[in-house]
Amino acid sequence: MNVKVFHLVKRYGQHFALHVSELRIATGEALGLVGNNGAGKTTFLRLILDLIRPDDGHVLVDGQNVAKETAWKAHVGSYLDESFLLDFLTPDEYFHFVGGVYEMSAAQIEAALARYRTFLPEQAFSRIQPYIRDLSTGNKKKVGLVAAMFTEPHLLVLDEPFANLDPGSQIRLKTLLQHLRQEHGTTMLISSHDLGHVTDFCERITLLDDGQIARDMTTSDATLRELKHYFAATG
Amino acid sequence: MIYVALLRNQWRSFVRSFQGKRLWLIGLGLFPLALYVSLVLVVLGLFFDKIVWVPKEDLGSVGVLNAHLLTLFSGMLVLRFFFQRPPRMEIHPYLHLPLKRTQLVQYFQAASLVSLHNVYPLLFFVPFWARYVLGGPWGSVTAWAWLTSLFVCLLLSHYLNTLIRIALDRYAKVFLIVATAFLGFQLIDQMLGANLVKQASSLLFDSLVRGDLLLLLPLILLTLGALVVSSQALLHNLHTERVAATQRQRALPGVLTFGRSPIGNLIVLEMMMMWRNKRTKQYVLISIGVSTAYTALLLSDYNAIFGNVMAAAVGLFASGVFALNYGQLMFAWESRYFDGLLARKIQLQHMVLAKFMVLMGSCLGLFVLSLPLFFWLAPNLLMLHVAFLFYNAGVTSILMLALAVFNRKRVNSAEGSFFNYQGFSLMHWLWIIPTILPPALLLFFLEATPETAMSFIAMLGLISMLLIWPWSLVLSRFLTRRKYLMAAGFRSVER
Repeated sequence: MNVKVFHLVKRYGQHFALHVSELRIATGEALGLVGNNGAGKTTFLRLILDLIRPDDGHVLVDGQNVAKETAWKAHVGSYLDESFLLDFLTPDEYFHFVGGVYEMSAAQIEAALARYRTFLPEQAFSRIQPYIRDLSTGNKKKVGLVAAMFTEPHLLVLDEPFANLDPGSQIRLKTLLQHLRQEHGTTMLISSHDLGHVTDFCERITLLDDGQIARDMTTSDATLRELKHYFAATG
Repeated sequence: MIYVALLRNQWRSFVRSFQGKRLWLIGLGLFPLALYVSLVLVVLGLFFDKIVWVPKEDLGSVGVLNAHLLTLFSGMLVLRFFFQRPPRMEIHPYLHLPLKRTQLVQYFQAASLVSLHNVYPLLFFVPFWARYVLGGPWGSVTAWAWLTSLFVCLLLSHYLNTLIRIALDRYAKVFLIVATAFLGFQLIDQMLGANLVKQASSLLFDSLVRGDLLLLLPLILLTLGALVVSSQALLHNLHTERVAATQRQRALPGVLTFGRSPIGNLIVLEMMMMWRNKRTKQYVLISIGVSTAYTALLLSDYNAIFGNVMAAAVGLFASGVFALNYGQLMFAWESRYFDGLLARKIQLQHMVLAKFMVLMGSCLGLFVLSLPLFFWLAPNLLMLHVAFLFYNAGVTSILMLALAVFNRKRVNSAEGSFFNYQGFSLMHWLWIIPTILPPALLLFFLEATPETAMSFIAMLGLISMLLIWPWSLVLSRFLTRRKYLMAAGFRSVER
């Protein structure tokens, strides 16, 4: 699934929260979105998912304008924050609800979840489960990330996926994301403050500054150093 | 010093609550209504004996009012329970600051007295007192004592409300038992014609008027007790509620819950949300309580109080109270995860249809629950009950859901209603007026042939129910247009 963004503008009052003239993400590409707090990363992801209305411009996912059509949602997995979780369900119930939305049978859901067993907290597979709202912040995040991934989406949109995860889980998450890309050619749009992970995983980095694209670069050995210099200078 | 700062913050909060609102609409809509209600109360107080039948002998108007004062204060307590914001909501933002909690509680207990619920009764009581008590033969000391007793009773109901809310929050079962006992007592008292409440009321306030001023003492002590206990209860219940992290649930097998059609899945989701969140669950329980106990109370003496509007009110509340109460916040209940729903492949029309079904189902459920009461206490109102089942399922449900699409205030459904009134405003309650108006007018104009009126009411509901598909299309279009605004509103945290 490819993503094209044209003249995307989001204002809050007189302030430009985001102003992106053009951005294209090719099918199968993993794009890392970095930037300081308030740079417009989450706003950008919300615009991609049609959660907020742009003041100008549009987003095309596989040629479909996200604000006008809904068919694209059938192939998109996303997790931005806890507001994506139906927290009064147990993890198992939540996965079955999400799987049902994507027209997966109970057997398909169980099979798809098998891969994520080592990533998810043990409680998510026990007979007696807590509600999602009673899980720790990190475990809630794991449930949200798995719910975004297990339906094998063609486009995956994640906001700060590595934050609040323990080091082991961060490594496992990268492996799971890698599998998803290799097996399904999933396009990925990942926002992160963790420069190490994002440069390690994404072949392209887009740097947002004050709502605008400051840099758009292909990842190389020098990228991490370059980003560190940039943030040291602007921070 | 800290009290001044708190006062300033409360004032700012009050003034800024109007920002972004259509002031002309509030002025046009609410001001005349407030003026009208105030005038009615003042006139009723001044010309009580011209409006209410008063016996010539004994204490006259004062005696009549005295007999009903306890019932009046009980009714006010019920009103407070539904409408009055408890002080704890205002305290919460200060809890992390290095301020003494006792100071905070003292301040907010005092500041909470500035409430409409403590003002509007005075619009009736003070003119009544000036004309009938102060102008009566009992002397000014007695007259002032009588007025003081009413002030004290107002304060008592004010602090009792805080206590009741804590009880509901912390000891829901005890609260339900006490509330059922209270309503049951009133019901039996009314049905048997024993009038114990009336007699107790007369005994207390007539004695005061006759000069037994010592009776003020127990009233004052009781009120002081309520103040102390409610302050202590507030102090010990200031922590943010959390479901114990150790609480675990047996997961329902996935195939049993979400293996249905898209609409079926959404209905199951709504029901699970309703039952597993504290506030929504409280709404279910309160609706059942109102539909049964309150209806029973009204029906037990319906000959005495019934008019067309009251008949319409009983019909509306008996099967439609849940739709009225819960329906207007139907999308807002999902504030916490509304983004998650929008990001998924869920058709908005399915969402609307699922919510329709839930509201319609609630009307049917409450109809069945309250049906035995109509059989038992007022069989001649059975047809009204049936007519309103259709009206509530067809018209009330759709109207409330339409209002829900226009609501964009965040609601935290996981927190108890003592802690949060998020999403609710006076406008929510005022919508009862246009909802009740068509059936009330039909019953009024077709008074001679009530069967015709009820048939019209039922037909109105039935036709609207048959139009569920076009209704859902229209509402899902509204939802499509408003979803960004709603999602933005639901994301912002409102205290």
